[in-house]
Amino acid sequence: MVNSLFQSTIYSIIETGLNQALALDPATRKQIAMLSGKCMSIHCQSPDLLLNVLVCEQNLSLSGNEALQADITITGNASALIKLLLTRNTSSLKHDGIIITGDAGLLTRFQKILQNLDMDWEYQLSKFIGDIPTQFAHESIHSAGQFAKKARHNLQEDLDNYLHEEARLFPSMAELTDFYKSVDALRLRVDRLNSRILKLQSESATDF
Amino acid sequence: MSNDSQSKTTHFGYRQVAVEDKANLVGEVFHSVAKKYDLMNDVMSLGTHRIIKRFTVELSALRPGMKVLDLAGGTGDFSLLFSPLVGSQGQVILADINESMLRVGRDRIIDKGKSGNISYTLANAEQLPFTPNTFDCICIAYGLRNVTDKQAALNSMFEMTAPGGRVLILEFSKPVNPLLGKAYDVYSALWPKAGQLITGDGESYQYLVESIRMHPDQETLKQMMLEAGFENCEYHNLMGGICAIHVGHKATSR
Repeated sequence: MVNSLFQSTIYSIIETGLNQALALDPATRKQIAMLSGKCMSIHCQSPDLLLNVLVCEQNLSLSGNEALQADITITGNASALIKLLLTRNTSSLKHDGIIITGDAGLLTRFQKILQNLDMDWEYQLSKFIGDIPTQFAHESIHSAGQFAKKARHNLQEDLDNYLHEEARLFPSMAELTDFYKSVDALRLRVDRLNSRILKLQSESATDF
Repeated sequence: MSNDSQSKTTHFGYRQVAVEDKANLVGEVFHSVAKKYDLMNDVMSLGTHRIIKRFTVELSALRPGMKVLDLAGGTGDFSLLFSPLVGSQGQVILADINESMLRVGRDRIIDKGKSGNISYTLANAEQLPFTPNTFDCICIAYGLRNVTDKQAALNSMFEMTAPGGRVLILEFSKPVNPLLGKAYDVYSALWPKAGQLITGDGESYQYLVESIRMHPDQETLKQMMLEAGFENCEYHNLMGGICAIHVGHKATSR
């Protein structure tokens, strides 16, 4: 129960954001209203976290209370769960180690609603911590993201150069294309030789 | 009989007063602070009471269509949070023993345009005027402390809870860490002065500080709940036990 208050705060921010987005999106709100009273429980195993999404008429309510009985429970690890909620693909559930109990049809409907929502996180955050800190947070996150992207790109390029040109552990792209080309040519020649042998064999068989 | 009841006393803060006087004295405190109650809460809790309320509501496990009693609900904070959860098919009853607090709460809810599923009742927690086995959840937040006979209130709450329902008691409690306890004591000693500045009534806040210290600690309250008939009672310490939420359940079949 140590970080429950913290968790509650996070849920409260996300919930306000979701409901704000819903308020601006009547079509999605109608879809949501059809699920009123339904509860989807998402149980993340690593890190250990419980999130109940309860539909209350045209709003969503998030909570971390185990006592709330869910219509569908989804259990899995964080990355698999995020992937599941943000993509339409449900075919790889087993592969990702996700376990679903209850009304699986609900999942598809929740997925659709989540994917169609367009939220303004910055605005929500600004209501809690003010405009200037939000701007600062946004810039920091943005520049950190840019730096990470650039660093990754540079690292990739340097590693590439090192492995190919300096250490010569791997052949370069040109060498590789050349090699593949000669393999292809060789394969074609072998194929031709094979059919020639077959032809000769059949010819000699008819001779006797 | 009348002699007997006159000789019984109870605590009002650190003072001993006659049992029948306590409700009136507490009433005066809340009449006096009602209008600026929420502002003072922000000051006293450094704004954390919002998060604590939200956490308490999460524990209610309410769903659309359920009935909830917001007991000692005062300015209606909890009712406003419960209202969207139970939806138009559900019902929230805001009850308070104090007319001024209830009036502030009712006005606030009406001003926010959220009155659809909320009703108001002037009621004493010791003798709740409802049909037994009615509510899926009864919540009393920062209210039990001010009730004269706490056990009677718990018994009455148990009676009104529907089988399978639950009761939530949010109240100031005893800090687990003695060092935090000391720091909190120093901090809360400032409240009467802050109260004097903001509401112009320091005495009322003096009472609040004293009543918090006189309130039963976590384990004692849990025992009282068990005695009233609640099962699976547990409590969550918040901010190191400065506040605690007790949850009790009423069995589905008895």
